[in-house]
Amino acid sequence: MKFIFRPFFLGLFVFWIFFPFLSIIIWSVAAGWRFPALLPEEYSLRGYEVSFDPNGDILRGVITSTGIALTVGVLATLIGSAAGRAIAMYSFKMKKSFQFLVLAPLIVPGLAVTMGIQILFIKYGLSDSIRGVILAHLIPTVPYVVMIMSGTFANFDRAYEEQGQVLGASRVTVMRKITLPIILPGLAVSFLFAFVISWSEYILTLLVGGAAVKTLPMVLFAFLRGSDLTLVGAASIVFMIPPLILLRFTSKHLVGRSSSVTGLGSV
Amino acid sequence: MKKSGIRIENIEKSFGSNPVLKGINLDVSSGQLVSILGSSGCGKTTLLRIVAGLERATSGHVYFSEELQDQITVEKRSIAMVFQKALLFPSMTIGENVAFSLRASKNRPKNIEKKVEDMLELVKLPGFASRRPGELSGGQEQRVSLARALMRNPKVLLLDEPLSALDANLRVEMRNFIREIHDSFEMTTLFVTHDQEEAMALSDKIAFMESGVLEQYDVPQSFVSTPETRKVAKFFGCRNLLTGKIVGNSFETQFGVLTLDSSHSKGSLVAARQEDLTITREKTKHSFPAKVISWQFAGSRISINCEAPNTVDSNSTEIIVESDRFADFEVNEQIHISYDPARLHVILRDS
Repeated sequence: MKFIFRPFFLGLFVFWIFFPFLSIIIWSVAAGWRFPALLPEEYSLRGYEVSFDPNGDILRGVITSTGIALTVGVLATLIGSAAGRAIAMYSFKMKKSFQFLVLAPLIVPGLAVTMGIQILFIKYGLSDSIRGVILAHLIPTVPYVVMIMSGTFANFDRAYEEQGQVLGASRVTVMRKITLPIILPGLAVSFLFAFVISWSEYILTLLVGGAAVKTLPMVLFAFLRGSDLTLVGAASIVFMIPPLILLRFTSKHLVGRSSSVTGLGSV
Repeated sequence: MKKSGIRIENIEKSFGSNPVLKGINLDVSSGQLVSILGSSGCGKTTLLRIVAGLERATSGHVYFSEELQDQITVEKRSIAMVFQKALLFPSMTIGENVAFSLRASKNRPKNIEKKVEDMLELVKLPGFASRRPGELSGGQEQRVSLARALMRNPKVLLLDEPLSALDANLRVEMRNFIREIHDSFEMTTLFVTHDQEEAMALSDKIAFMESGVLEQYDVPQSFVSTPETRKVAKFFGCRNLLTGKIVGNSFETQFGVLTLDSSHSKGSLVAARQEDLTITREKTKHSFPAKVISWQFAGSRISINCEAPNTVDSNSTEIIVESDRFADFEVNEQIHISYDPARLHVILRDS
């Protein structure tokens, strides 16, 4: 019985995950696909032609989104690592309150916070600008990085740094040659998380960036309203590609006994 | 007088309101290997970390070759340190680990690879340069750690219990190896350990600490023959610490008067090591009566518990005698315990 059930449920699971993608893939190349037909009668690459049009909204959206997500990834990883290290390795006054405040954005609805932030951003001239969007994207990303990095640093033996120092290495050398390679898996996972969250962020971008900052999700929503499903299908595929490329390079740190994964729940 | 390699002057250290080191003074001659010995929590590791610069003393000074170190940061001190764990950097090969201090320094020397290979040969691990840290045994890892430290050519080598993570056979081998290495380099070595045997076997001098106080600083044999305090005598295994009154060269105890080999004007505590006492059937020139209570084997020797009846009251004083062969005494047999006046040591500082 076991031998029959296992492939069956595995198949069901795979189908359940990938079926929605299947219809998107088919839509992206369909020219016409009306109700009773199981498959489209005609195929075309129109969706992809529009998507990769150098002057089109989609490609420009990809460029804007990539720029923002990469910057957010780097900034969130830097800020979150520092906070994660502090939480995991040092004791200081009000540590519990600090931990709570750092993680609060995960619990408090982002929308509510952004309403308030928007007023401040307008006051300081940050609304409707890429700088403002990047700052706003740090709100939902930094807490995840703090969680991942505090797990990574909890498993990091500080004695390695002392060993480097007593061998004559400066603080910078110790960080570059000793600490960085050890915490690299955590950094990679943090960057991936921050990138993906920023990449698919819609509400914050809409509220802070207004109509001026057109990231890919903004463009996608505009197309969805237009109900050209071929275009939506193709654009969705394009939307999925960058995170998948990034996942390809960080996936080895996501599985197995990597300290950054086992430490995820330590905060 | 020999040149001073490390001078520790009046070091005090407290963590919060908890004093860990209470006025430590220590002068280590250049080129010597000195052990800092003590049970865990006595402050020996903290002292070593202060010498390294990893910890700041609350007050006091550290000098290397008469040069004040207090304002010099860790990485600029002419030291190298080996910890209890080998701490080989996991992202580097063995060779890169050994070469670490060379690559980290501002003026990199040429032919690093040759130097690394020579150093690995010295620690008896030739050809290991391309291996990775996880592939080595505990003893090999610690040898790499030592090689990595020596590569810096330090004036002062600091070892923080480098052998305590190894198993017993390897420990003996490694401590002899450390002594050899020390002798072939021109450096002063501080070796922190809790293992009395290790310290005795390896050191030119031992600094014995307890509760943040330096109890005695001397050559190894003095800790056995002439302990300065009760704590030292106890730590180094003296089982008979007799109290009494010293008048001239006689020592008036509760079980009779013992003869000392010289006159003392003060002191009330005498250390009589169990292996310096012998059990005899007849009275000798220097002996006192006692009764055998029990015995037990202690390794290849036997430890005999005796009781000497007090002359002042009806109680008795427990005396332990250790003998290297089995003597056929019965339990409860009346015997005499003989001693050598020269081997009775008066403890002058009884804190």
